[in-house]
Amino acid sequence: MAYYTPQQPVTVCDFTVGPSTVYAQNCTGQSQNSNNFSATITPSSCLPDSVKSKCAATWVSGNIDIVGSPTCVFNLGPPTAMVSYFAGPKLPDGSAGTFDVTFDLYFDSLGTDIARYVTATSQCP
Amino acid sequence: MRFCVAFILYTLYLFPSAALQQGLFSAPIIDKSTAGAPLEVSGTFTLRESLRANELEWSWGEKVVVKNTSEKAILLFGATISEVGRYSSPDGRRAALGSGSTYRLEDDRFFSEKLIEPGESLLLRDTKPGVPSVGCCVNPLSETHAPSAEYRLYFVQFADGSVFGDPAEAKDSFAIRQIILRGLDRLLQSYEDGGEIGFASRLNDLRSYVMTPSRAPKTNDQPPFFETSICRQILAEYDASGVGGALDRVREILKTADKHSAMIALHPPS
Repeated sequence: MAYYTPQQPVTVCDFTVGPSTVYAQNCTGQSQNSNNFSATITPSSCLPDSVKSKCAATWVSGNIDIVGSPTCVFNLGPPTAMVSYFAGPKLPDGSAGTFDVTFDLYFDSLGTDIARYVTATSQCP
Repeated sequence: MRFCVAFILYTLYLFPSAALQQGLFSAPIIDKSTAGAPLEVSGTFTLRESLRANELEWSWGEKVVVKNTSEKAILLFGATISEVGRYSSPDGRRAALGSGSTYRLEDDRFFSEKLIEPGESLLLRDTKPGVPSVGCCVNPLSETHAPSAEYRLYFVQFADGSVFGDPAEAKDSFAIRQIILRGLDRLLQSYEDGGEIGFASRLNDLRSYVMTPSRAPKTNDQPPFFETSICRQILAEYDASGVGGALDRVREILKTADKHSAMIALHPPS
């Protein structure tokens, strides 16, 4: 015999990463640029577990040279990643190039992690 | 010579895995904190790597536990964990493929009754290698070094207000304390001005900002109060127990904050 067991509704947590366009302060390739990225989580009741979450940044195209590793901060408000890079020379479209910023956030309420990324274009001055 | 090259290419075509080098590296976390650090670290990292021709795939994981080895309860700490890969930066580039991220972790118990007591251990990181990062290009014949994960404790504020490290390095956490205190004061003020209706109205405003951040008034606070975990706790209490429950929670949190303020006033951060 099958019994119906009422289930707690499962909150579906998700997020987006932004911004998709950032502005380099310098595109000579000689000075370091820094941009901040953040995850916008919905719904508001979802909090990522800082112990189990990750972030990363990788080069995709153009004249972008990412310096070292991104600095990820998960427990001072919305998750953020600061990416430092050298940019330039400027490409014909006015940008220096693109890179991916990925957040892999673990939600205890889901019991799993979700990875989302943005391909950011760095615009030259 | 031509025959050799043709043979290698044919072999790779038939057995593509022959071109794939895989590696799993694991070692203890290295403590790079200065002498006398009150949070002792233990744990290991794992790096999974595979190299196909000169394209590298890599993913990191680590389990990191810290223990309060001091004789005082800890109110706030900040530490970094950096994942340093096996490869040096390729010629003309500054990023080393295979390196992971630097995690900046700050834990502030100013609004919580649960401090990190002497002898208490705390799980700081618990991740496994997962979806890999991919990058080009490494020279498979270049020299490599042992990968490592480095922990550095940069700041601790004890419950009595005394500190380890430079408070300037934890300025973000101190700023967020002030944002939360202002947010809580404004909530209580809404109750004093408008009773339960005024308080509920303020909570509903905060909820609408959480749902649609563009509705929130512009502020220099980063993050704004509605994005803090304390605000979310209060909204959750409002959902669960209504205005009375949320009001009690605000008063309880402020009482805890007042208690900690009085304790740290003995050694205010410079």
